[in-house]
Amino acid sequence: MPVVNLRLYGAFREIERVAPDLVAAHARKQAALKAIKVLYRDAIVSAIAGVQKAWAQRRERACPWFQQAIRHLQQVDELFLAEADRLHDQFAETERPLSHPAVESVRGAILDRLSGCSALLIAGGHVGVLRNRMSFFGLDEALRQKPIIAWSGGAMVLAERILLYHDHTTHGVGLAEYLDRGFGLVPGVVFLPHAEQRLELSRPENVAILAARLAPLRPVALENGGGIDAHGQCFGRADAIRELTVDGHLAPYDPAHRTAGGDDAARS
Amino acid sequence: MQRVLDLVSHIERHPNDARRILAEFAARWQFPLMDEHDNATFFYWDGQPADAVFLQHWVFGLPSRQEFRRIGQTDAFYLPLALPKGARVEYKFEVVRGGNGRWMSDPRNGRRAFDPFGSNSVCPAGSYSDPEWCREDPHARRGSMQSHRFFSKTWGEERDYQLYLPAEARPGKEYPLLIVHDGNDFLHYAEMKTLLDNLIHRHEVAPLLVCFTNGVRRNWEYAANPRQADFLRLDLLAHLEATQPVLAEPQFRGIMGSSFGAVSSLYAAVRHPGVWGRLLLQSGSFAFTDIGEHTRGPMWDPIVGFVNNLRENPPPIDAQIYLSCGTFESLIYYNRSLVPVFQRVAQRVRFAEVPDGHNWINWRDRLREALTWLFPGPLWMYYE
Repeated sequence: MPVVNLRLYGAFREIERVAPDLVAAHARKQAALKAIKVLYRDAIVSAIAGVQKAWAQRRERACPWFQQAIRHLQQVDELFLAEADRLHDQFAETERPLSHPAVESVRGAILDRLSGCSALLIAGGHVGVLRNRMSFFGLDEALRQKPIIAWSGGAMVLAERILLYHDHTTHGVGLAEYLDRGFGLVPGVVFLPHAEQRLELSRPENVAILAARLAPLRPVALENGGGIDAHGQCFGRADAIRELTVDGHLAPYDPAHRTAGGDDAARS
Repeated sequence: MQRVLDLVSHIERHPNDARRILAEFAARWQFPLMDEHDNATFFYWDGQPADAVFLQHWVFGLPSRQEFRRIGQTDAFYLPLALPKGARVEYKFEVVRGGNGRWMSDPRNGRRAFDPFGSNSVCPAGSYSDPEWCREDPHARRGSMQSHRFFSKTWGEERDYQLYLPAEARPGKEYPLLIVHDGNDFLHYAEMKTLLDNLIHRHEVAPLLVCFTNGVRRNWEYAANPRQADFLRLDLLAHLEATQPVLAEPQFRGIMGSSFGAVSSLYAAVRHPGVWGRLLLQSGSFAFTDIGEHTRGPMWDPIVGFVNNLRENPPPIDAQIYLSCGTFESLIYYNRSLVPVFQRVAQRVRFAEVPDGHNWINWRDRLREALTWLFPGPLWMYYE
């Protein structure tokens, strides 16, 4: 079966060439988002420190100080996502990129190529660039009309939200942060590809704090050798798809069954 | 140590068999011998008569010349030495015969470290191992090297440099810039090209352009010399900005060096504030005096003057500073003393001290941590 490259990155380069004003406006939006991200990161540092202190005091989820600290951290996340939404909406309203003749033409070519395909494959890579290019060309609707096979970063963009994480950078633990919203094709989850490699999962408090922070969304660790199909059923290696639970464990992911306490502290 | 003590008692019991016992011992073990507590035992025996053997090393705080003990009546010698955990010691043997000492590498240790003066034997204690990220990775995309020459108004002569371009370099895109003092040595002895390829390929370090520059009258130029600072800013940086796709903001401009190269880097940042936003200072020769005169010789006068002024009246340093020094260096005192000064006046400071000496492998081994902090790559964003 032939494979057709949608050439999203090349398409954006073409827009850079033919519609510099639009691209400049897009760059301004991205710069504004970056500036907000600086504030977001600073706020996360103190919010996570608060969560860790509260956890260290009693080491129990029911502790009201822990719950309050988690709520504060979630508020920081929500504020960032709301600010990101505002910037994206403002850009869409003022620039109307999908109505721009250059974008219409390039996007039309992408959709033509896609219409001839039986399925869409979305590989991993730089998840920020992937999400931004797909979003710029307004592929949300098109995504819903094809079977999709996505992995790593490609899977991340299909979930409701995209979380960035890495506990093992060369200069220490990175504090997990939201990149942005995903396309929401797989509701109710945040995908964490290569979680074993990137997260310190052997420490139950790390697992518990991350699960509580993301609730009611379910953090699903994706490892090589397994997958989830359109009905939420797992296939492949038995321990490849697991859910991080608020009691600090990794449990086999079952879409029909929310693990104990999955939406407690955070949403109370 | 226990193995050598066993050897000594074995030879005491069988003095006539000493030669065979020594030959078997020498063939059986890897030297220096290391025990689980990171104690090293050095061993020398070449079958020829010798008057004495000394260990020569550059570990500040230990006597730099330590005499070996003779084993019985033989011409074999040993020396036990306790090392800090994870330490890495470069050394030579001095073998004395007929009143003449001869320096040599340890003939029973194949581990060598090279520098512009030749090579030293290496004793890695316990957990130390050569990092895998500085070995050639066949999967890593290779950047390219270019040789350039340009005219420096400051020096009134032509100067050469080598430029590293990352594999992903493409027209129309601009990159951060790092200028490296003693560039040829960093390429040759610290494997900097290979580790740049690896770290950029792994998304740990941002793709960047790296300019490897060299001093001509090196020590004089690098010793807090205003002309060198002007050369870097007004000649080299201006030339690179005019000819290469480099980003113009200070946070994308770095300068680095070791020893006197670190002094030159810091001096450049102080003399031209706001230009260099990233400083990587390794084993900086930041000598100063609290009272009286220094005793390091006239070459150090400008450095001591500069660092004394800096400590007395530190100017704002609009940069992120990565500072490192080996605990076996006499310079560790000066480097530690500057950390609180930098913490007061710089944007951000990171200090690493490690059980190693004033050598290229120490500087190489810090580069991953330093570069990923100063020029972080998009690893955070990559899921593949």
